Amino acid sequence: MSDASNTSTADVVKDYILREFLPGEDRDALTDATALITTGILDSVATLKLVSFLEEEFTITLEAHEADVEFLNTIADIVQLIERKQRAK
Amino acid sequence: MTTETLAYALREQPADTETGALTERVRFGAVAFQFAVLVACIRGLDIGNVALGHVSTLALAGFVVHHLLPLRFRLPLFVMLSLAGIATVFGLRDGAMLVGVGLVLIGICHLPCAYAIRVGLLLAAGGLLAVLRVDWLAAPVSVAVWPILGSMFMFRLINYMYDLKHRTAPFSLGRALAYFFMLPNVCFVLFPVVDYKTMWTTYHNDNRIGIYQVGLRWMLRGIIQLVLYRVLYHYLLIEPASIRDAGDVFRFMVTTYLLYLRVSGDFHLIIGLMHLFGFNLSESHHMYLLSSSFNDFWRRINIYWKDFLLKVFYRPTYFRLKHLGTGRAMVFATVFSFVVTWLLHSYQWFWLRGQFPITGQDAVFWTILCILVAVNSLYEARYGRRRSLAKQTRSFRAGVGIALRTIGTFVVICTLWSVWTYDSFSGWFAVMAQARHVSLADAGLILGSLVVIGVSGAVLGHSTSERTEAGAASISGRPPLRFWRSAITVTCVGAAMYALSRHEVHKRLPTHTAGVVQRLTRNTLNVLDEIKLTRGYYEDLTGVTHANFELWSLLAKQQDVHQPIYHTALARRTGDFFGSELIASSRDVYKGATVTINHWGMRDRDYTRAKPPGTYRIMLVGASTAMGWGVGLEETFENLVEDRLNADPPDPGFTSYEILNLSVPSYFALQKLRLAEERAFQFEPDALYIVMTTHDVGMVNYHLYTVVKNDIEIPYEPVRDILRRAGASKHMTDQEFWRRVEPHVPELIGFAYRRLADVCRSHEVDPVMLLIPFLKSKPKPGAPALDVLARENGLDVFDLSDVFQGVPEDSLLIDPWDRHPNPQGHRMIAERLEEHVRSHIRSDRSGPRSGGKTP
Repeated sequence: MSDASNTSTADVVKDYILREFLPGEDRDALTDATALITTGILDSVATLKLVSFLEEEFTITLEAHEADVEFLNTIADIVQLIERKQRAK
Repeated sequence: MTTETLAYALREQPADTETGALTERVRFGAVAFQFAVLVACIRGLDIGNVALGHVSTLALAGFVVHHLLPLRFRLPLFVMLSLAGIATVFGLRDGAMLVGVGLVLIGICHLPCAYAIRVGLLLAAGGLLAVLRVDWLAAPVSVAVWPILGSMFMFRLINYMYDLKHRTAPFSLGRALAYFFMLPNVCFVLFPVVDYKTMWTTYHNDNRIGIYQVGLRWMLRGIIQLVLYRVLYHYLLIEPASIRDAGDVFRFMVTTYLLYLRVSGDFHLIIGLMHLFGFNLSESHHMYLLSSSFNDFWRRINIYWKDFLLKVFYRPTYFRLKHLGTGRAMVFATVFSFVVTWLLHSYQWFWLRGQFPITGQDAVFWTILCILVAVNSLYEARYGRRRSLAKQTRSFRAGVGIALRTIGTFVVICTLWSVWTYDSFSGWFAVMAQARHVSLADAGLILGSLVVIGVSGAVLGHSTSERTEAGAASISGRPPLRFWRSAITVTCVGAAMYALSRHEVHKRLPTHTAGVVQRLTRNTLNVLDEIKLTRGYYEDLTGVTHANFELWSLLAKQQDVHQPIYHTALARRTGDFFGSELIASSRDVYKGATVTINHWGMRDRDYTRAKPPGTYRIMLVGASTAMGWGVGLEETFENLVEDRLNADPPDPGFTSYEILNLSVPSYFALQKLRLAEERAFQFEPDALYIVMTTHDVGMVNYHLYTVVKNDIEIPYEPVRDILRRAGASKHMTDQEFWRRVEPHVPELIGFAYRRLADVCRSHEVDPVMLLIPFLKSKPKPGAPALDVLARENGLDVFDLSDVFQGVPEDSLLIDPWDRHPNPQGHRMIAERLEEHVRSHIRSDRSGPRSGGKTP
């Protein structure tokens, strides 16, 4: 798991998305509310890569039905999902 | 965002900030007007089927009330409209049965027992319905109910149970009824797999006028696609037997793929109509012709299907296997999803047609597409693809790259599609072999077309492709709606299309143009399908596949449409040149009419072999129409003419008139000749009428293929010689055989006529060719004129080819799916034939003869 005390969950997710899917993009242009799936930034392949990253990075387990727009469309949604999973552990 | 915070609770979305209440009312008026124009279009252009005309009118009336109701009453009204639509299309009894079965299935989903038990019960119910579907048990419903029941439940039930398991959406009886019995579904057997959760997350989730307007735009797009489909279907499709060179092969491959416009057009209409009731669903297809990779193609064509697979099969498989690593899990999940897709296509075919086909073409198509998508997915997983938060600018070089990828994807998909939809591999290879004949014009046509595809892909395709993956939830991906621009476009284009459907407009057009416009504004079969349908009357029809939407949808309505007569007690297969024959002294019900065969093996009254003194006797040698297919014995045109001649004799020299009907279904020119030679003259006729219909030309070729393929001896040396010269043999595919023999068809028919004229004259019998039309059928372009051929070869001609002119042909069919004339059609033929017969007897005969060989 990343150093959560120094870096917020949102930042970790944001860094990953910028690094993997939006290399060279302006960091400020990607906000917590930017739609990722409904604008096509995350397609099905990218979504599965993101899921693998989240599970590994935050030691959580996601269900198949959670890998969709309802839970992963924005960084805010993703953070909310991670926090819920961590609380449920 | 979690389930709890989703906007499931119904609440009215505010109007656009720039608009006030008055503007909102004006916009609603504009929406209602556009909807009325589109409904007029649907009815005027005969889009879909009669049911769609009724249901769209019902939807229009319901839409206005729906809009004016408070939000909480709108869903109940939508459900009531949907149920009313079912009752309108099927009637109360069958409609109630359909809804009743649906309620039982929905009830099982919500039984208070374990999820696995409910799934088991649903499978058991499905098994019972399957038994009824294949007629192992008698079902108390019309066969027409099955395809619609299947299209409502076969996939959506899976989706519904998935969401029920995960409780990812709210559930209630109203929502379930709205989901399964969706208003437009009763008109379409192929229906998008709408996602339950998406249906309710997007319900009234935006300003409703905006939702309506998007729906209207998509409905118009659907209508345009369906009219383009007709252009393709009637004017651009090429018969495999007519393919001669590379240009033809290219045209064949492209047009076969483009026939899919029928599905995307229907789906646009369906989803557009749902928008008018607040369901803000996403588009079902997105510029799939301009896909720039195989994954891109998979994401753009039938997006609802892709989302369904992704949700129910792909992701769960991936999650189970992800411990193997992302790449491996992805490949296994992709393979599994494609196997499921293949099986689900056969499963769909089962519910719609009652058969579960597993074909080699399916295997090849899905296997190759699966490999291409899997490889593409691995590539994307490893190297990613270009994404951007802002609008992308693209270099010329990148544009060329996209153009080339678009061309490559298009060519591969066209090729795969043509394999998938072809009857056989050998037939497909025979067609492809014609590509070796390449002219400069062919090369120019192919290259030019591909350049257009590539440039279109570079300019239009890439700019929106990134949004397509969002599938059923891509609301935020849509460009902002410009209401009035959209409204004016829909109104003007819709009104223009409606005007073209009007008879008053046709009258002002030049004859040829009016003919083209009429064909494009009517729901009719093209020449090729007419031939296939005609073949279907005579054999077990196997060439009607999922790719042939027109015939398929026609046959879906009536299962016994292609039951050959030799499956009844009336006829048997002979295995000789005739193929089949009527059984003397038999009786059965066929095509809704009781048919009796007399002791001479004729579908006719009883006659003595020897002609009674003072009698004028005509032998009639024809096929199904002349036999009286689907009408009573006393309603056939030949018996009507016989009765009229006897009631008012044309020549006082004869005391009675007899018409003996030797006609047998599926007899074409050469069989009729043989039948006349072997059986007609023993009855001592004065005249012999060989009855030809306008579709007989193509069927001569078809008959000869059957004969040659089955090693049946051809009794005429000139015919054998023609086949030798054509290079036709039993080892060829049907298409290859037909391609070779087609240029010789006039020679074959000419031979039959000439020989018939000679043999008649040798028996002192007047030979006549009676030409009658085959309903809703146009002669194949370039086909020889049967009347000219007959006159050139010594036959008198009674040309009745225009006998049905001025009367709507639909009103003369024995059934909407059967092109033989009903009793009214026979009466019209009889009236005209009677005139010819009277005139013929008066001019050619001066007194009674004993007939036949006796002077």
